[in-house]
Amino acid sequence: MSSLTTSMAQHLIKSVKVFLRFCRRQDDMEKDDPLWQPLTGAAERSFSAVEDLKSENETRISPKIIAQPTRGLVDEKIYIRVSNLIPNKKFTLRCLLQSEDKDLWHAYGHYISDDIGVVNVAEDVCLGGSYTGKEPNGLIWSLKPVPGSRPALRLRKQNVFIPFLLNISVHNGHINDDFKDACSLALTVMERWYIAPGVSRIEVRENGIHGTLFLPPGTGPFPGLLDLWGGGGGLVEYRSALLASHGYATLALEYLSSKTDFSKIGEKYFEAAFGYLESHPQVSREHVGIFGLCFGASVTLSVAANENKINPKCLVCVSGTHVIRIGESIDKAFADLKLNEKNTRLDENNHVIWRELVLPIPTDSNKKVNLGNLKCPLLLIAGDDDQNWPTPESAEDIEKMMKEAGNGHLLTKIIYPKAGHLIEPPYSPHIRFSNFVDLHTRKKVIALWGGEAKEHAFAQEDSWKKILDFLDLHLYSSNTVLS
Amino acid sequence: MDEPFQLEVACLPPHCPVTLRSTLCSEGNDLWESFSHYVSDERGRVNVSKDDSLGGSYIGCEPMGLLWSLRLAVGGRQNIRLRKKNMQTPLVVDISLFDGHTIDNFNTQTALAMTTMERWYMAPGVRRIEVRENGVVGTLFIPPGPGPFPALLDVWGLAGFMEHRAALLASRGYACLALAYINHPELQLGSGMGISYFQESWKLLQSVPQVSADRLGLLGSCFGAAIFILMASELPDISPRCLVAINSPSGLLNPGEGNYLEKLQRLLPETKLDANGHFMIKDAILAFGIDLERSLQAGGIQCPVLLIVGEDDQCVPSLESAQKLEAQMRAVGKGHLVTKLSYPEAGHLIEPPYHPVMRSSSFILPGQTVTLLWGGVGKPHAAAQEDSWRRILEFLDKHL
Repeated sequence: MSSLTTSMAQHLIKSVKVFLRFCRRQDDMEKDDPLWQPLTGAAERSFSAVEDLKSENETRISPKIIAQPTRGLVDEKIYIRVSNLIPNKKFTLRCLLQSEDKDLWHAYGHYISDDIGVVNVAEDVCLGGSYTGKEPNGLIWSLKPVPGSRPALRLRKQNVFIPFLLNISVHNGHINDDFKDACSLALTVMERWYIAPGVSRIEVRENGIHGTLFLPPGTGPFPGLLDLWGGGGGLVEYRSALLASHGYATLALEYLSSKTDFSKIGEKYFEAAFGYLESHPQVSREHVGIFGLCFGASVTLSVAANENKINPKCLVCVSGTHVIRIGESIDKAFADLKLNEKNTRLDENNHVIWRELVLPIPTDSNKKVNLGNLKCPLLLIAGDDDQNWPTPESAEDIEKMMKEAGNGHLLTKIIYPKAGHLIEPPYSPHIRFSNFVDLHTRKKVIALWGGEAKEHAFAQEDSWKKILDFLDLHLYSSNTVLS
Repeated sequence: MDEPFQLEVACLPPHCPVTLRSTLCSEGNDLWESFSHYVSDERGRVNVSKDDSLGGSYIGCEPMGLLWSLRLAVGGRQNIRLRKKNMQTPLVVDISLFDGHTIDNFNTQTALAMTTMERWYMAPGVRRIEVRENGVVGTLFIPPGPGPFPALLDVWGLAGFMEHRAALLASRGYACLALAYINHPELQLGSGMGISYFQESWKLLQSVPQVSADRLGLLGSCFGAAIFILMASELPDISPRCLVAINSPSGLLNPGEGNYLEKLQRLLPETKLDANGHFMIKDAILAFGIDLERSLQAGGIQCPVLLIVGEDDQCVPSLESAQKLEAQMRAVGKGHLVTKLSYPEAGHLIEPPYHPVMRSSSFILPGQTVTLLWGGVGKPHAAAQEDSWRRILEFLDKHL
C-alpha cells in the first residue's frame, strides 16, 4: 500500500470524483422493502378494498402512488408504482407539468391493474395513450402540450434553480387526451432538476465572452467543458448545469442572439471562451473538452480542426455537420448557407426542412472542415431522421475523411435510427417540429426536426449514457496515476 | 431522509488511503461532523456501500455511517440533539475527500473533492398546516392528492414538540398530526396537557376532510406513547386501527391530570448520576416504585400493537414496560395483537433512520438544565433506527 505525501498528491491527483447515487432502483432495494412492494397482507387488504366499496360501513381509502425519485436530476430514470387500486380494472396514469411559459404539458398511459390492485410502470405494458408497451419512462419523454395549447411549442428550462414539477395522477378508466372532467383518484409530485445541490452558477462577462459558468461543488480542479448550442441562439444553460452536476466545470456560451453582430463572432471568440476555461483557477488546464449541438457542433469541429490554436482533450458533437465551417466570422458561414437558400424545402404542413442547404456533401475538402487535422477523440452522434441538417450523411463523410487521413481511430460514430435533430438530455419530450426564429433573417417559421417519439427517446437516453462515459474516460479517468 | 444513498469515489491512485468527511450545519448554527478512513482498491475506487472503514467515526462496512455517526464538532456547543424545525428546507450535508488518514484539523487541509446532498423530511407536494383549533396545538401534514388517507397522531416524549417524523410519515402516504402536549408556548398547560386534550386531538384528526375517519392510528415515543397506550386501552371513543409505541415507560404517571414536568422534577433528587454526571432517569423511575400492574391496564386495547424497545434505554424502563404490557395482553387472550421488537444496545432516542446517534444530551427542565443519559451504542442503535422504521412502515401499511 503506497501513500502519497501531500505535495505529491497535489501534483498528481488532479480531478478526483466523488459522486452520490440514491438507492431508489428496484434492483437496489430489498425485495421486502416497504417503500417498494406490498406485503402479502396488502393483497388481502386490496380484496377487502373491493368489499369496502360495496359495503357502506367502511370508508374508501385512496390509491397510493409511489413515484421515485421524489427529487432527482432530469437524467435519472423514474419508477412509478400505484397500489390500493381495484384489481383487474382499467386505469389511466397521467403526468402533468406546467412550463415556465405557463403552458401545460401532459402524457398519459392506459394500464390494467393486476390481481392485487397494482400498476407498476416499469414492468407493466401500457395499452395506449401517449406511448405503448413497456416504457418505464414513457410518462416523461412522451409529454406533449395539452389539447388547446399554442402550436409548435418546445419544452426548455430557463431558470435551472426551479425544478420541473411533475404531477403524477391516476384516473379510472382509459381516458384519451381530455382530462378536464376526470377527477384523479390519487396524486403525487416529483421534482426534476437540471442542477444538483452544491453546483454554483457564475455569470461570465469578460474578454468579450458572454456566458454562464457552472462549477461542481468543491475546490476542484475540475475538467472543463465548453457547451455550445445551435442556430436558435441565446444563452441556454440547462445542459451545462446538468454536466456540472456530473462533475464538469461547464461554460454555456452565448454566440448568437438578436443583438449579435455576426461579423464580430468567429473562431477568435470561441478560442477566447476556451482559453477562459483553461485558465480558470478551478479548471484543470489539460482537461478541457468541447460539447456542441447543431450549429454548435459545426463550431466545435471548426475550431478543433484549426491546427495549433486550441487543444481540447475530447469533443462531443451532436446533430452537426462539418460542411458548415466557422472561420474568421460566422457571417461567412451564413452567407454560404444563403447561397443555397433555394434548397429549403417545406413538408406537407409547411414546416421548414433545411437539410438540403448543405447537400450534396462536397467532395472538395476545401469546402468542409478538415477533420484529418483532429488530434483528440471525437464522439459523433446523429439521428437518421434529422430533417434539419444532413447529419447522418455528414457523419459518414467525416468517418471516411478521418480514415483516409489516418486518424480514424479517434472517431466514435453513432447514428440512431428514427431519431431526429434535437437529441437532448434524456427524457426531454420529443419535439418533431417547433417554432423557430431564424436569427439571420429574423423570420419566424416552424422548423421540422424529425424523429419518431419512441426511437428518439431511446436515442436521447442511450447517447447521454455514452456521452457521460466518453467524457469520464477522457476527462477524468485518463489522468489517474498508476503506481 | 429515510432513503439510503450510495457514495463512491473514483479516479484515485490505487491503494491510496483517503478520509471521507461529512459535515452539516444545523439550524442552530452548530457544526456536526463525521469522518472515516478508507483505502482505494486496485482501480482507484472507494465504494462506501461495500468497502470497510478502517477507522474514524465508525468502522467496518457502513453505507450510511457518514450520517448516523455525525457528532457535534469540537470547539462548538456540545450535548445538543440535532433538531430540524423548518420542514420546508433540507438538511444540507457536504461530503469531502482528503488525502491520507486524517483525524482532525480538516479545516487546514485542502479537500481533494467534494459533493453535496440534501436530506429532506418532506416530499414535494406534501402540505403542511399549522393547527390551532379547539385548544389543540400541532402541525398537520397531508400527502398530495385528493385522499382520503389513513391518518396518524404522532407524539414524542417530555422533550416536547417535533414535526420531522410526521412530515416523513406524510411523505410515505399518511395524513399525520404532530401533536404538541408539553413544553409549547401556546399550550394552556406548558408542563403537560391532560387526557381530555388528547381526546380532542383525536376527534380533530377524524374530522379532517382528507382523512379516512375509521383508519386512524397512534404512533408515539416515550411518554407520549404511554399516554396513547392508556387512551387506546381505557377510552371507548378512541379506537385506533393500530398503535406504535417506541420506548414507552408505560405506567409511569397518571396522565389524567397533566403537569408531567413538575412531577418529573420531583423525581430528580432520587436520580443517580453515571460516571459522566449524566442523569440516569430509569433507575429513579424504578426506584419510585411504580406499580406497573396497577397503573397499566393494557387489557383494553383492541388493535394491533407494535412495541419498539431499545434494551439499553437508560431513560425509561422500556424493556420492562414492554414485557409487562405483552404479558397483560396475553392474560386477556390478546397476545396475538402484540409485536415486540427489542434491540440490544439501542438506547432511548430511536429516531427515523440515519439520524445521528446520541448517548446523552442536555435536557431543559423548569429551573434547571441537566444532562440526561439516553443510552445506546453507535452502530447497534443506528441499525435499530433503520430496522424499526422499516418495520413501522410495514406495520402501518398492513393495518391502515
